[in-house]
Amino acid sequence: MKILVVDDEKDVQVLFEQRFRKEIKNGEMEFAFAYSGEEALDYLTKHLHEAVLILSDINMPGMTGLELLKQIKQKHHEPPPVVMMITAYGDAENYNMAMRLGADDFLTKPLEFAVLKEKLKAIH
Amino acid sequence: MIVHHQLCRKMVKKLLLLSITVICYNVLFSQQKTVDSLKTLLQSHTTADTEQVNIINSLAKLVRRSNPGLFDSLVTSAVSLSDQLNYKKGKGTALTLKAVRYYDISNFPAATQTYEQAKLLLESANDIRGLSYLLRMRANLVMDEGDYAKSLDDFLQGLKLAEQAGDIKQAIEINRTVGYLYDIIGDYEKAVPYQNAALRQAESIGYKQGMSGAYNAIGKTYKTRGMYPASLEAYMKNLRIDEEMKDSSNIAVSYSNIGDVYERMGKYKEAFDYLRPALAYNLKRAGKNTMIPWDEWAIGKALTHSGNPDSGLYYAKHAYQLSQQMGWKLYLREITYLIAESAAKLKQWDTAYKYQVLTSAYKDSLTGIETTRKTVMLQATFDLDKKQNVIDLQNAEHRRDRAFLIMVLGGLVTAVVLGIILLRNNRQKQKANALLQRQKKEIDDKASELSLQKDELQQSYSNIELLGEIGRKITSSLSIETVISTVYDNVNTLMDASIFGIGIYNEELKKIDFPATYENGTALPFYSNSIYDQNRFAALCFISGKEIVMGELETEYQNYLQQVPAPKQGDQPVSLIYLPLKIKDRMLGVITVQSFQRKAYSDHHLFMLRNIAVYTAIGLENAESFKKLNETVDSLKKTQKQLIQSEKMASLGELIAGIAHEIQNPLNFVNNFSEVNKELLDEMNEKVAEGNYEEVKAIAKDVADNQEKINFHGKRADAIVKGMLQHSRTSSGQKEPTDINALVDEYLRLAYHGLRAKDKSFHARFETDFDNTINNVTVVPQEIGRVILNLLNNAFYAVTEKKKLAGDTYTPTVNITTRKKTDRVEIKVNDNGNGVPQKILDKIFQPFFTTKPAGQGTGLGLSLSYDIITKGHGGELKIETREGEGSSFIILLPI
Repeated sequence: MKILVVDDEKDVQVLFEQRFRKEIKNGEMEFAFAYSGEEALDYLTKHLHEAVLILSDINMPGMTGLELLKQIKQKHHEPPPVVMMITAYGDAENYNMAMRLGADDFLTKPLEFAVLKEKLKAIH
Repeated sequence: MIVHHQLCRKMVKKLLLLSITVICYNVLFSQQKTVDSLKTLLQSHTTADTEQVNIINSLAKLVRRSNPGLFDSLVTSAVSLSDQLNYKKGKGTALTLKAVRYYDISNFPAATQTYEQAKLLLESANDIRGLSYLLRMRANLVMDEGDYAKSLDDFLQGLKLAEQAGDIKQAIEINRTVGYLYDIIGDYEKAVPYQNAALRQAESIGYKQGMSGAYNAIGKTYKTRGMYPASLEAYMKNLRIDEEMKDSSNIAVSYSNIGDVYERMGKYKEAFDYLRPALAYNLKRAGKNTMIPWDEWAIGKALTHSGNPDSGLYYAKHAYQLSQQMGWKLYLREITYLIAESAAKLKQWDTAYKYQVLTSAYKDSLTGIETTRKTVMLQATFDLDKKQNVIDLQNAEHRRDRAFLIMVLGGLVTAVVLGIILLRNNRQKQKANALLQRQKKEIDDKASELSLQKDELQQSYSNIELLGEIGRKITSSLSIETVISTVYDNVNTLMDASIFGIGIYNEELKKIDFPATYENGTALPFYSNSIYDQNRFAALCFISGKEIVMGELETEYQNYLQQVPAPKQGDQPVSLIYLPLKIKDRMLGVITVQSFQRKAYSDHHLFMLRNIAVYTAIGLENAESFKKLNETVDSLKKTQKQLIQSEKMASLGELIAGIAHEIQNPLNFVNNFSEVNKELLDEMNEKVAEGNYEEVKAIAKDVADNQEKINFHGKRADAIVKGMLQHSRTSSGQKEPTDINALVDEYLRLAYHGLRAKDKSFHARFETDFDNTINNVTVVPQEIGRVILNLLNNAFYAVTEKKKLAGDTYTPTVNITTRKKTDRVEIKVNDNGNGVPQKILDKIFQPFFTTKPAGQGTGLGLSLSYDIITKGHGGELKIETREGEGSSFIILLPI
């Protein structure tokens, strides 16, 4: 399962690679990283159908996570990939907006990786 | 005086009745004749030619006020007929009238546009007379809008054209109004010649309307200079001419003016008698009318000054609202000043402060000087200036007295010359020797009398000079103690003041306090008399307001008291004078000089002391106002401090929201990396047990790397919290070498997240362009941070506002750049919002100025930023903006 992680915090890459080191090692999961919404869209057009799951931050300079979500769900290929939003803004308004735009799940920072793993396994 | 006022009141009632009923009719009737003849002429003139256009325009000009419906249709037909005939002069004239009509109903934008159209037409038709009228009317409008320079331009150009066309009436109107304009901008010297020219010209052609206008202007000049009796005289003459002309709307204007002058003289009853009927009349007139807010302002002033500040505030606020609605700016400054003054009397300090600031803002926009921060000083100067006017008036009266004396002297000299001629004639005739002797003796007598008078006169001059000097000294003192000692020092040079005292009325205790009394040069201790103690000269003088003068106390005291009063301090005097100290009708206290000599004081001494009493009263009132002013300033300063604090709290609130979220990111790493490390250590133990040391080494390195990340993000969270604490600190911090780029970056994030926290739908592109050659700059980091935060908040607000209206094609963008200049560092915050309109550009750094809807901005952000950069750091804060395209705020900090 290929997963695209989108966040403007660069350390996210190290964190995911370590958190999922077993899954990466045994080939269960593969990760790609993008540091902005624009970069993520670029990746998705270049690697069509590769990523089945996208984990995106909401608050990023330039294109926000919600805009990225909208673009993916409305304009992108069929079937659209699963998109989970991860944000520090865990309020109802952000949640509702994400859900309305078609997000499949919504997680808040600080991230509970045990919960995330459960969710990913359920999808798989 | 009393008779006069009663007469006035009766007149007011009678005239008002007349003016609204009969007079109105009469004016219309006399005009009606001309209107009728023009109508007949129009009917008989059937050819559609330029002459017909001229007749229509003349008729329209006459019925403009009386029949707006007819006026509109006349102008419309004049325009279309002129178009058919390609008659530029006709069309230009019609459009000028149309513009004047727009001005009548206070539609300023439409009027301005129509004037512009008309002007082009009249210019190409070379219609000098028409242009002169247009320029005059347009200048009136521009003056009402508050652009005096432009207005003066129009007037002077119009005046030149009027003279060129030989149009005296036009010239009169312009001369008068230019005088009026100079009054408004406070250049009275320049006002007088224009107004006098208008009066002379009007009289020369027997033009009553012109005379009425000129008197009105002269009245205004005197009023503005604080010469109220002269002003009243001019306005009364104005009123009499208006009455002769039976012009009801001008009568109402004169009433308003007379009422205003009475108000300024403190004669509130008379003021109300004139102002109320004037307002009632103006309210009955149809349409918008700037006299309504003006009358309301004047009545409000009278109410506030006569002890009803709450009613005064009500009137003032209503006047303010009306003026705003009409776009009538001319009196906004006076009106806001009245609101501030009334509110201050009601101790509503926030309102008082707010309107005081507005007042000085209007004052600034009039004079073009940015002195908002001098508001308090301005008020002080304003009060003192008012007093200075009273003093100047008195000095002017002295000068007038002197001129009179010189005249008398001149008369006597003439008499001498005549006498000598007579004498010579008699000698020639060699007759009537006896007569000659007698006449010679008479002449000798006269000559000696003359020389005596001359001495006295010279003495008077020098005394008047001296009095003026003393007056200046006394009235420039600002504490009661200095006033008393200054008066004492000077009185001593003028008369025997073995005992000298000034009693000041203590309203709370109903006593007269003598803080410093002098006997033979030594100060006596403080004492006071009850004002009800009828056996004291001080109380008697104070209660009755009358002078007490005696030269032999033992016999004369019976005229005043039942028994000789034993002095509270010191010895019993023989001669004494007690004079009341009063300003207008307010009693402030008493002044006394006493002597141990019999008949120590002559009429001359009494005269001198009376003058000194007037100066002393002014001096005491000055000192009192100064004290009150200082109290007001203190409380204003306190209010200002509180307001600044609340601005800090408001921006702190926004910050906290941003920080709460900002801190989640480092926390995410701290939590997760520490959990990963725990897992890695378990794994490592397994590998140790397995003996796989290669793997152990690899895991140990990961653990160490993670540990470093935990440490880094922990410090990041720490920095965020510290930043917040610094920001919330009320006292200003210390200057320290600061990495400007890092500071800007930190606050950019805070601003962005703070706004996100408030408005979830908010987003904007933000870009940074930092100059890495900038070394550390010594600043107070949290203060500069506050400024950057404020500028960014404004920038983000501006782009969000534009986004609401612009479509998807618009990308809200904010960027911030830093640059090193030769001796300064520049921080520039750019947005592509709507820009700042030119007309508010000079106000944006003023406190309380905000374009945000109520409750969304304190209006202190930019003004605090301005203070921090300019006063706190010796830098500059500038704005570059283009309407519709965006703004750049530029901070320049010295290195």
